[in-house]
Amino acid sequence: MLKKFKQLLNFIVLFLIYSFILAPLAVVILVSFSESSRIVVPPASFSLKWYANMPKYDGLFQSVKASTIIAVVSSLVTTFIGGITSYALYKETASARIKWLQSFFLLPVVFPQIVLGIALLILFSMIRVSNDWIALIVAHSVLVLPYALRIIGAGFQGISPSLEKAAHTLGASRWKTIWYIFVPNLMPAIFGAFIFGMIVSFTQFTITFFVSSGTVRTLPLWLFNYIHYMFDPGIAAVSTVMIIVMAISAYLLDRLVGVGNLMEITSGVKG
Amino acid sequence: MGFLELVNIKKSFDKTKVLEDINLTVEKGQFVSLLGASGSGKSTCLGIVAGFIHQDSGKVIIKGVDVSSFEPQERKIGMVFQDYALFPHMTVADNVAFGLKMRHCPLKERMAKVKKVLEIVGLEEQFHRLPKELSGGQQQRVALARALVLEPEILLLDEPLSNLDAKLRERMRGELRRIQREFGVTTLFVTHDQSEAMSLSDMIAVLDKGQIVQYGTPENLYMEPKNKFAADFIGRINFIEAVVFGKNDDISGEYLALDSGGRRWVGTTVDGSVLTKNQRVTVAFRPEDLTIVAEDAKSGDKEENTFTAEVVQVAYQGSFTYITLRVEKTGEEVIYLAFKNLEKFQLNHYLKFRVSRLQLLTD
Repeated sequence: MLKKFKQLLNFIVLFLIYSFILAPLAVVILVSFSESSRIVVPPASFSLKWYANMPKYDGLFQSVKASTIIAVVSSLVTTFIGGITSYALYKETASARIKWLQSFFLLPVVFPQIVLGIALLILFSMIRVSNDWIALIVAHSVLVLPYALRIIGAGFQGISPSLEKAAHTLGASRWKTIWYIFVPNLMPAIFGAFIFGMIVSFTQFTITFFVSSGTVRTLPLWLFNYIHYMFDPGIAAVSTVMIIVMAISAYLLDRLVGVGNLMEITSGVKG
Repeated sequence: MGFLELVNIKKSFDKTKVLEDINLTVEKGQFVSLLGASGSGKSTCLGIVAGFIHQDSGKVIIKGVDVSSFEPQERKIGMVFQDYALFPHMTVADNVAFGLKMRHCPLKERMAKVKKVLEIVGLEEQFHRLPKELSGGQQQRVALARALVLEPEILLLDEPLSNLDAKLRERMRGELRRIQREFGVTTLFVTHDQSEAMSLSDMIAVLDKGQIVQYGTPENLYMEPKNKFAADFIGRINFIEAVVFGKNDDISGEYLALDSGGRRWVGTTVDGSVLTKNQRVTVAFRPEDLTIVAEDAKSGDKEENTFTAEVVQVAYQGSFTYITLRVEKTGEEVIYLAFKNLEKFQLNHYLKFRVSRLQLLTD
């Protein structure tokens, strides 16, 4: 009896927590199917017209394309840099500076994004980077790198140091050991880092807002701009598509590295 | 000249001396154990032979070639690690074939070799399994097969049995030696388990504090330990402290020593080293070198190499029984091995023993 009561209580508490987290998203999704051009919850009548309307938005397609390019490129760059840096840290496991370095690489996450945004803006104007593409890819890479490092670094932690030694005694050179032993065993972590990097970059607003001069407009910038002028369910429709894409990414991420691992990874330096 | 030679190897980590002047010669096909407690430097020694660790000075010579500057992959060694280090993403066959692939062995030949070596270690059924699907003993045999398929000059084993449970460990010992003989591969085996070293090895090097205390056959180590450490590390042994009184006039090389109870001990040193009067020595003898000469207590110890002792503990082991005795007057505890007539060994009962074979150890 008591056990059943506890289970029920458990369920209620969990339900409330999830509702609290997910309710705003549910509202957005609900509104996106509204027929009226004003935002009313719940909608009086339903339609798909805001979805059908999407191709007509000026610059939406361009901004999705820009966001995708920036996300893919900066994620590729950070996965690569994160991979080789993790390898270097892995090789140095015995040394004392390792912890210091790990903390150092986490700094971009710890800094307020607004500070990082202003800092990058000043830096880019100092060294005269006028191309928005380069500026945004570099800025996003800086932000994404700590995540890539933590995810791939955790992947390395799961590899026994004797694997590398064994590969060497079997005649594998350093490069062959990386290719045949490390890369296959790190594949989930590498994909995980890539997808997580994409999510972080794709949803990034603050830093983008500071660094972009306006020639390249990412999706979050477009959305921000749109609600400046209009406040209709169209924005909910775009957001809903974004929510779905992110949900799929999160699911993939969970399958690859496990969200539990990711929490440990992103919550700071291990041990 | 030996097949594998370590010459004056020295190694320090951050000013801590780990190896001090290691010299070791291993003949072709021998099974040699490096036996020592943790921190004795045995694993460092193995790492240096493998090429993972670079010695500060000294040479590693394999078949007359100084390989000190060679990378691990250039040394023609096979190694089995404590955690086996099987590649988790590869099947048993791929694990074993990995070394051949790295050496550009043609596919057909590779397959044939892998098949043959897996048959030898008894894993022909597990060809396409992943390491995680195998038992500990099977994983160990895959690791062995993976090292041996390359026909290495030297096989290095880093405590390969320590992760197995007791029963399996016993069985794998025999397996290991059978497979090693079949390949005739010169083997260096690191272990902290003296009974493992004793039952497997042709030769044992006992390491302590970065030095080889003694190098010899298991029998040699057991019968003629050079010092207290080696004596105590291998098998059971009894010690009684004494002081040299002088030479035994009747037999050259023999000395007479007196313990604090006034008992007389006559024996030789292991390497014929000379003792001086009043030098402190340890009278060392194995439990099986004791015989009971009288069952009535306190008859005095006037004869040399005899002592009276009190039974303080009886530990039944099955096929034999450890009897712990306290030596009268001096108070040392010694062990006696009893096989039958256990009723003689009543607690607090006194017995008189003769030591038929003893050694005088100086340190």
